[in-house]
Amino acid sequence: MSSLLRIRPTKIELIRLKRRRELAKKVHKILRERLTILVNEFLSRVRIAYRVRLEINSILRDVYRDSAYLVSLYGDGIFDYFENTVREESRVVIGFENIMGVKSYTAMVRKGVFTDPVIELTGFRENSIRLIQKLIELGRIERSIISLGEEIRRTKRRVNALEYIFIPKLETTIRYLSMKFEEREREEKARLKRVKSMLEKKKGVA
Amino acid sequence: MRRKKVLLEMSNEKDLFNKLISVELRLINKHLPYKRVSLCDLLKMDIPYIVLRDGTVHLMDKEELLYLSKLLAKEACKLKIPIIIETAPSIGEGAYIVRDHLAKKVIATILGVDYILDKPLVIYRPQLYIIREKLRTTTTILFNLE
Repeated sequence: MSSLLRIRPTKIELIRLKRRRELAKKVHKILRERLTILVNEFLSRVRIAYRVRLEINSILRDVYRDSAYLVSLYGDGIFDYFENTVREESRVVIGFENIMGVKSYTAMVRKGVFTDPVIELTGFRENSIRLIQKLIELGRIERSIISLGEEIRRTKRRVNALEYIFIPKLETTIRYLSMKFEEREREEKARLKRVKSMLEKKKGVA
Repeated sequence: MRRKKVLLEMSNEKDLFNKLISVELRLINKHLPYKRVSLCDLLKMDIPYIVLRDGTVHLMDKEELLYLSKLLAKEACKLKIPIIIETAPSIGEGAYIVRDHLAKKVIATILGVDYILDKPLVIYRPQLYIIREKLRTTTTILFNLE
């Protein structure tokens, strides 16, 4: 690939190129800023995902312990009973979240209504709802990590394209054109000097 | 024939560049809201959301909204959501400003810094990360082109 842009060597084109270079630098700066923010969002979400995973593990332990206790106390039928005492089911609302222009899925749990005549069931139910909430939170975070990762890759390519291809190309072309115009000016000056000396010579002969 | 080919190549190169720049400029602030909504209105909603400039519906975290209302107490209804944090290239790289009076109060309270009423609050990148971690859905960043 040539390091020069293919343009007509005119002064207007030089002015246009200079303007374009300024714009490209501005866009490059903004994109780099965006990239930094996105990378940080990505890293913070990775940290949160790790923390949520640990929390899920501990809640799972509690839920297993409670369910084993309930089964040993009331038998397998307790879970049918558990189902029957739900007056209004918990709902999961799925929508979108926009992180710096990155669209990602998000979800939130809306707690249902229950009646628990068995006291042991209350703790179990609380823990299971907490588990579902945390699982959904983890899903949301991991989904956003994937979306952010993709966007980071795309933005990085754009930043690199501007930094290593477009801006250097513009700068080389501007330098080339400036040198060309300077050369033209020098040529013009030399030509004028020559014409002047020739005219003076002619005057001297006459 | 050759001249035609050269001209075509010239225009292709220019087009590619212009396309890249124009697309970036067009998309850079598309995540901003179409209209900012007051905190009270959002709290009244069953599922709090705002519509963004690109047409997407951005869901808000209810816990964050409750946290904000707790921070501002009586002034909560005046706060417009999302809180806009602007990049400030004039100050330097990694500097951000908050102009809205109540937003300044919220951010200064979270960060534990002082702020001047008439001047915008300037925060820096590490502080921005703290804010973004706490107010994930209720803050947004505006990329300033100046």
